[in-house]
Amino acid sequence: MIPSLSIHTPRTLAEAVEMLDGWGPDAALYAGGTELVVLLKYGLAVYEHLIDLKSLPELQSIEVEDGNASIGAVATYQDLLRHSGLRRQWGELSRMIKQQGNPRVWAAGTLGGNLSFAEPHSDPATLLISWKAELECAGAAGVRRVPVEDFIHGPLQTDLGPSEVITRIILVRQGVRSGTGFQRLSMLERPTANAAVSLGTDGNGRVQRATAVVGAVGPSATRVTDAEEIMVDTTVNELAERAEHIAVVVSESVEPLEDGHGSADYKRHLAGELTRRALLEALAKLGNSGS
Amino acid sequence: MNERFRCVGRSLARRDGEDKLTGAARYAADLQLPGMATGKLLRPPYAHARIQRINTSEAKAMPGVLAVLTAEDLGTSVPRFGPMVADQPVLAHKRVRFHGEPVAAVAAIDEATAEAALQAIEVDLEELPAVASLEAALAPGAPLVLDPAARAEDDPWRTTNVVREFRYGWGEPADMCDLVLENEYAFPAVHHYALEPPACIAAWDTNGLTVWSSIQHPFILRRVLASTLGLPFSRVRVHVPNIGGSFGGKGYPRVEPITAFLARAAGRPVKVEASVEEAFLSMRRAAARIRVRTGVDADGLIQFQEFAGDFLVGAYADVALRVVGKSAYHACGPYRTPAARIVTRAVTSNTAPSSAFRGFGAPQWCWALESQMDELAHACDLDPLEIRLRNLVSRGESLVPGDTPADGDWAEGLRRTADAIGWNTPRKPHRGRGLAVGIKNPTPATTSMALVHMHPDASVTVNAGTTEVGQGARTMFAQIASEALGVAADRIAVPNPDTAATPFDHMTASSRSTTMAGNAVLAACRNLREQLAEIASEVLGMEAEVDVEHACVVAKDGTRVAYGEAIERYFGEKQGEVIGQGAYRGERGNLPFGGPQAFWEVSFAASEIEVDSATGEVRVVRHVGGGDVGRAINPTLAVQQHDGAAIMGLGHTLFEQLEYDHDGQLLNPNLMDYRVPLCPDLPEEVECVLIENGDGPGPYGAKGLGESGTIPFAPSVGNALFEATGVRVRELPLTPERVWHALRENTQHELAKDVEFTSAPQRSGGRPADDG
Amino acid sequence: MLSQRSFALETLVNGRPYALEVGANELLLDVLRNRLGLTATKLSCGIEICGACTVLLDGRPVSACCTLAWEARGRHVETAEGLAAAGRLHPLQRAFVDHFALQCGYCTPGMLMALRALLDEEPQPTEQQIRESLKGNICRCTGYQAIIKATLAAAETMSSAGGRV
Repeated sequence: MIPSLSIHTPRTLAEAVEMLDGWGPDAALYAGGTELVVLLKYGLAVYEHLIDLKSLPELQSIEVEDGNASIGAVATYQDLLRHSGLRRQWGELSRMIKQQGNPRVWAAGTLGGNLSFAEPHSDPATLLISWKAELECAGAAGVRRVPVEDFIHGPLQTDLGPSEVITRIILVRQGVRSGTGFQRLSMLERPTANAAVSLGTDGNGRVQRATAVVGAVGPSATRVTDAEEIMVDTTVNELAERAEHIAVVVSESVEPLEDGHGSADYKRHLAGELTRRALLEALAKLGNSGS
Repeated sequence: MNERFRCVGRSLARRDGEDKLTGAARYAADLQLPGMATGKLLRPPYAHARIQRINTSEAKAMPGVLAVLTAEDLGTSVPRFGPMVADQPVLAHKRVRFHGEPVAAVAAIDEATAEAALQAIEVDLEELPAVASLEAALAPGAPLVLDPAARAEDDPWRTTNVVREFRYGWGEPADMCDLVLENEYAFPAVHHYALEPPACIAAWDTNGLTVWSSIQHPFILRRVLASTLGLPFSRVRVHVPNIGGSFGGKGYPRVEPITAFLARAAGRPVKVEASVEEAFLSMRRAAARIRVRTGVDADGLIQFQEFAGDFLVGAYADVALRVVGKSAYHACGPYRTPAARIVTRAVTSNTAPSSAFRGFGAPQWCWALESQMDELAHACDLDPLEIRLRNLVSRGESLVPGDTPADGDWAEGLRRTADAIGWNTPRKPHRGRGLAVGIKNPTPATTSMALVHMHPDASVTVNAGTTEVGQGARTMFAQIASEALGVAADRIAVPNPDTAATPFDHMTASSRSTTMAGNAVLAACRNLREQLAEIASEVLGMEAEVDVEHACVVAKDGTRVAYGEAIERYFGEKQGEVIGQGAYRGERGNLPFGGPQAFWEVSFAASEIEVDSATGEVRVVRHVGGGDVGRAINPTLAVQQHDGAAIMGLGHTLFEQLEYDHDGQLLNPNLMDYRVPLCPDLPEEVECVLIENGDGPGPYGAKGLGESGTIPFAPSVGNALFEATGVRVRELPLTPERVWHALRENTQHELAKDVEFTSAPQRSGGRPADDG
Repeated sequence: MLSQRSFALETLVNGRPYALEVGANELLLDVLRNRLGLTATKLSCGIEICGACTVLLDGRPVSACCTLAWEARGRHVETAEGLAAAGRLHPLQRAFVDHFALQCGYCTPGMLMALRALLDEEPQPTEQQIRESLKGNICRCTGYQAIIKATLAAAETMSSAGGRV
């Protein structure tokens, strides 16, 4: 049973920030509640006040324009799945969503909720970081942008200030010649390991930009810069041939934590293998892009 | 459908389907009584601890709290309960012996108050070293779970964690063996996870105690409650509504005894609903390590088997010893075994009681034996199907000496199952196929009784004590009675058990209900027919007999009288009833566990798998299960049981394992960290082959098959994995990491371990057989 | 704006309007089972994984055990009790009977609601879509195969009946 509490419906974002500021640690932001309600039920978190963000339209809308996407932090996964612009232009997002959770999670869960919770065994951050996505946060001091990569500090720890609200997730157009791969393995309810690779090439099949991200195996999703350095400035054919080597580089770079999902040794291997698969997936999509 | 029968062999829709689909069906947690209070149990997170002090004063003083109990409050000596040995204190007394053992209980006017009261109870515990694995429990100097002073002086295991050893054996191990193979196999502790956790309501009145419970065996609950509370059986009444799955886990008392005490202390009915986490902490299957040493001749024929098994049982007896001893009994499986030595030990630990769980020890032995059969096949260069066909006993052949011989055509079953998977057809790349045969003994020497009432309108009520756990017992009994009486099944009611009205049934378990309870129903129908004939004779003034086909009685002069009319003419208009009584008593004999097997439950499994060798993920793509069912009273219900049991087997094969830390705490008592089969895990094809030779002792030739699908599933997959990769994994579950490690290691090792090829006579060494 | 520890919940459940004073901390499952006596929806795992407590909220499937009753205000809650109409089983229920898609029945109400939501979204799902959609609804008895068959059959029936039933 959840202890008695109050639920508040701010009429504006400014009011929500004011409430947060006023109540401090006694208040929690509430949207889908898929993580929060479980914590409340089992006494893992106690709050006097829940601030229901679902009443704020600026946190729900999804806009896709010129290939850029601005996703409301409180839009549900289901809203994202139903948005044709997102589906067309950011297809891996839909695929990532459908591989995790289940229809009830999609109906209530949100990207904002997921990112602010910062559970290490999770998929969204890995993919978003590969796209160098940013978060827009509103607080008492105003609005700021922070890359997702810098937002998650560690398990259940984020850059979010005490009176801040994630308002939007910003995806910047990756370019005409780009391809992204996302791979994950889950043994249990949450993922054991995941990897995302995003590539962009010039007109001559030369890789201009590359991100490689591994998540779920360590405290937070991390870019593997050692691997990225090898990926950049090669041709796509060379890159395909280097995939095995890149897997080794990744497995040597990551620092997995041993837990109920598996040993550090196995996770290290998975990090490399899933990156290899994500890389090949990204290359395959490059072959199809530009249409 | 068999044309010989009117109702048996038809797949009638299950009669509780609509109620379960519309929400009209009630389970224990759905029931409310006036004035009912909520009970909750306090379970400290320690596997082994000395209880220094429990302070309940603050909890007791809270408004809305009706009772707070600790062991001291339950009586001058702490009451204990247990289905075989009354060893478990109703609340932990002086010591907590497993993570999950309750130390206190509260009853309050609502859930919030009960939870608050629990929080207000102060418990001072001194943590003690705990053992939660076979290695830890058997290590020299291991902390002891049981107090040696409480064990018999002549108990040779008194100062160890070994609780009991069972030994079986026959024959003299052969002097000459062309091949001897020895391997060790391991099976994890797993949890039943029935969707419904245990729940019960207890209420007292001047008649005694009434309980509504999700209990699988109401008559066992009755006797345990009677014993624990010092009541005669006649003053304990158990109702069982629908049960939301059990698989053995809710067979034996768990929350019922403490709920009864809470209700007495509170002076009101009390409901206790365990959470799923509490269920995880309360019941499990025993983990096992089994070493098997097999000698075969050049043709792959078994000459001897030597088994040494250790089972990790819990801190209290439950039925753990029976699981160990009864399953070891048939360790040699359905094969011709000239000589055998079986030694198995129950090793106690600071863990939840290991209890009955679909298969009752058979899956563990089957994992070992059927993996070994394939390893033998490989070593002898024989097809795994062929080696089994050569060794399977034929109908009438002795299996375990002195016990019921083979009562089925098991080679036929294996062939049909293998054919169904396409055993002799080419495999797709990266795929492998595997076979396995499972066997289990139902409970010997048990009793089931039934009352069948025919009402003045010739409708019928069958009172039999089998509980509805999902298997469709009520539908099945209606079909048997319909067949035996000629009354339409939809005019036959089969209420859920109420021990005040339902006659004794030993238990709903062990794949025994169709055969043994079914036979009791059949006997009661026979008795009912005899009475109908007598009544008719008297009413008609001449001899009469029953004509089942036309649902009437026929006098000697040909006069036909409908059943109902005969009853009314005998008793008066719309009055009276005829009550047929029947019993099945299992044969007793001088055998372990009380008597010979009524039948052997034999099943077959064939799996086709795919392996992702880079991640170690195994996917079962196709599965065929075969059950030697004798006669399927309701074929679809039988297939359903088999399929469901198979997917349960998929769980411990690929995903499920309970994990404990060094302090014995259960690390994964929830679905976040414990993985059961989900819908996407279902193989692309699952098929069930029913072998119906009418050769069972049950009604119309039935045998049981409730556990069949589970028992051979794991080795069929392990064997398929070997075929696909050349790698043998001997420990379950076959998680991706485990398989990946094995695949990696295999780059160094080619052959199976401990293979001794010899052309010289091989002394296998034997010991005289001991009684278990 | 509502800012209090309890609130007046006005909601529609299976087409019937209710008005209840409800705590902000109350869970939808408890309101359904204990306040409204609708016990079809079951509590099992309590952490949104098993799906036994699946109900529809304005047509979306949610885990009632981890959904605040707050979310039901002004919305339509649908449970298994509301599927049958005028004594006739819903095609999904009928298909479950015909295909023996249940045994103990504890997962069944949640399973039905999850499938109702699926068929609303995807009236003619493939077997693969059904499998994926049901990954959040655990059955420990049937092994799922009969449930999938029943769903395909119900989809067939419903599409010939023309739309949401």
